[in-house]
Amino acid sequence: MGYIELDVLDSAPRRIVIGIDLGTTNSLAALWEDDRPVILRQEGASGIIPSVINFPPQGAPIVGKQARAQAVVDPQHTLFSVKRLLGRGLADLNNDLQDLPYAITENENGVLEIEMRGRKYTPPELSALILRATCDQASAAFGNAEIASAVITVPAYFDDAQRQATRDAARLAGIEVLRIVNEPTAASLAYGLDQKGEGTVAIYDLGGGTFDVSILSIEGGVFRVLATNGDTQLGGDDFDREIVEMIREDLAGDVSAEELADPAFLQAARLAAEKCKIALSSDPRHEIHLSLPDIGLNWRRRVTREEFEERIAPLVDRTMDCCRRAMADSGVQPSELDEVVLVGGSTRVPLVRARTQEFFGRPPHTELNPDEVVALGAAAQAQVLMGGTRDILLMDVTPLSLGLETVGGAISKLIERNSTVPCSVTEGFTTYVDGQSGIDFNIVQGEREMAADCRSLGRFKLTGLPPMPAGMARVAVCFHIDANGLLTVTAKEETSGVKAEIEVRPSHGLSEEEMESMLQAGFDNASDDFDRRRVADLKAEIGTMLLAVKKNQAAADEKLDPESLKDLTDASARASKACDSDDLDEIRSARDEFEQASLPLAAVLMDHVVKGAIQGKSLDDV
Amino acid sequence: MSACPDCGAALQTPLVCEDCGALQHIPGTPSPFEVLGLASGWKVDTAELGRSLLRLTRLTHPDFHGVHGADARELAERNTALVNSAYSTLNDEVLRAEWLLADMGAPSPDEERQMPQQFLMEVLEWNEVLEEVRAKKDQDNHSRLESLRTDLQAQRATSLKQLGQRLEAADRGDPQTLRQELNTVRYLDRTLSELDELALEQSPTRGD
Repeated sequence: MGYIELDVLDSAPRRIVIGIDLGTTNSLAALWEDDRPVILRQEGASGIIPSVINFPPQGAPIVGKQARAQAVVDPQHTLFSVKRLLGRGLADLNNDLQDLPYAITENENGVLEIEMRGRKYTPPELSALILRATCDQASAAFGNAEIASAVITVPAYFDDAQRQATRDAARLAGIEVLRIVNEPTAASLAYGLDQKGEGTVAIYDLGGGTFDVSILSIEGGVFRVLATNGDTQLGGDDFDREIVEMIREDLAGDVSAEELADPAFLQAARLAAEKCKIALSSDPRHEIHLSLPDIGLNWRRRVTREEFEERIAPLVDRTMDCCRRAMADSGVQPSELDEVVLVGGSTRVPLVRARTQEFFGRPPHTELNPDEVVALGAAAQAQVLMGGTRDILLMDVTPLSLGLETVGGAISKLIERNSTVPCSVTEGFTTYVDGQSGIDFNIVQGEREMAADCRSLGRFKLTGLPPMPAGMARVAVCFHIDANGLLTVTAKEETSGVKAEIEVRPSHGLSEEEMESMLQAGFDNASDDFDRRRVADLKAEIGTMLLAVKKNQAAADEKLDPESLKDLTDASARASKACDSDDLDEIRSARDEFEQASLPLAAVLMDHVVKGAIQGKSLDDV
Repeated sequence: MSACPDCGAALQTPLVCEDCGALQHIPGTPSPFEVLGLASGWKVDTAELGRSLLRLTRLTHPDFHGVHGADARELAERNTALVNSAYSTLNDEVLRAEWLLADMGAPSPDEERQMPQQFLMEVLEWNEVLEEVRAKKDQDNHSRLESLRTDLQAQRATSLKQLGQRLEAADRGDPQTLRQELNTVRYLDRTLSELDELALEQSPTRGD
């Protein structure tokens, strides 16, 4: 834009490493700057991107606020809460499947698929769209900086399949994952840095779709997780669903069953339920108003906080069971805790606050913004991983026990839950039959006694064993959980020296071939991607120009003629508004107009600079 | 004690040079005592153990080696896993005893499943109480559970103390006897965790 660049732009786009909170309801990015983590947001915006995707009839999928705005208009093509689908199979979903306005199927490899506008998407591909949008916005908010890599957070109670799926999503989005960090651990980091807190801390993290509780000891910059527990299918979404149920029960007599199952009705009810839940956090009662002219519905109902609390009480009880288990595993008594920190938007619900206070025997710490604290912690961890500081050390644990299925369906546990990661365990196995040439292994994760009740992460077969009598083969199976909480399994037969091959087939994950073909499809969509890139660039440019105008507002007010000043003010407002859209043409024309309108200001400033130079002043003094 | 190939300083632990911070390649599997730089034996100062864990983790953790390339990262993963495993072995008295028994060639729990004779009578009594608690869901359950827990914990402490005294002695005695005593502790631990589960199931604060 004009010559104002002289004044504000002094360097090429920077390469930055960010922390991303990939949430069920909202996603958010943060960056370490000037010795502290900050949320990446554009001028005047919250930085929060709703984790919602809309598939318009033509063109690329839309992510964020605009996608969310399509929920009622286009419910069949608007996806919410895809995080709950990551690394899951159809059988895992139960409640989540009910009433969805689109079909979810499972392919032959056990990976879920959703068909949108004639194309099938897997959960990692959908999460990749959200990650990409989050990165683009972060980049735009930071002067169009290039996102080199990122720390991405996941619920602590995510199992291996869910973590792998998250990593696949990042890869599909073209983001290098520096580390996968557990959400409550990231939150503890932000809390510890912000409050200079030390001691034993409980983090209660109830988000849109998942619940975690972690007990940590914080001492001298070391954040050590003692125990963690949780439920990856429990969150604010379930509170909303209770209110939707309430609405449907009330309407059952007056509205037909088909209409109650209608996608538009369900989305409207869902949004009204969410609004009601939020209102009831501050008000004792709220009136739900549903207006759907298409089915002749104009309905109001008052919901009291007591009613709401009664319905969600069993869900809150479930979180308390997790807290009890985490405390028992940590060996810490509630009286020994120094602080309880609440994280996640759903902890704004008064019943949640009351129950946590009752359970832990102290008022919870609520000074941090529960929506931002995870992303802030992730940015701090990114700084550590970049070699920026050695003052902070996270020692995290694996949430679930890992083992192998043995004869009769029992489990041989190799790694206990709450083991500090990274950790490695090797155990010996042998053959049961003379001349047996291979052994089948089923890797399971979970706390139940029988393999059938745990989650199967994958099966592999050790083949090529030389003929030996039963019990002679010595097969060493090694489980390694890395600092990301991700499992790798290796196996070898030790007596024969024959190198045996293993092939692990993920139970609900993408195979390498599937990943390859999806990445290829990504290249094929390069023109869409190019448009999105262009949109992001233009938004970044507008952001820079807005900053420049703001910085020079005094000069503009003083030196510009009223007409130019009005043009500039109007054009900057329009440009700022255009940034809410993702329409390339709209943004381009807004930027061009803004540039034109800023020329008089540029001229004034340039004049000033020249005069300054003549008077022997340097540019910096102007 | 070997020296660091990078700076020549004497290595206190085979994992990493505490002088220059160079991660070391370790052939084979070092003992948990070697890993943490502690004297081998039953007696372990838990405060010192905790300090060792933090001091070594600060040097080996993959968080601090990611920028040095894939090989360094892998070595950091491996060596930190060794630190964590050594710590969890030595921090838990049962696992520590298991390691010492295995090291002296005592039979594994699969090879020797017996517990000392005098212990079996008490087991029968405890089982009776446990069955009662399981069958009934009355008000007395809580106090029954708690008094059983106290008994079991007392017995556990006694058994561990006896085992520890033997392990510390110059002559540790018959490995089979040691194994039988350790089996007692393992039995008590299993029963105590069953009690925890029962207590959780029957907890009065559970909203049901």
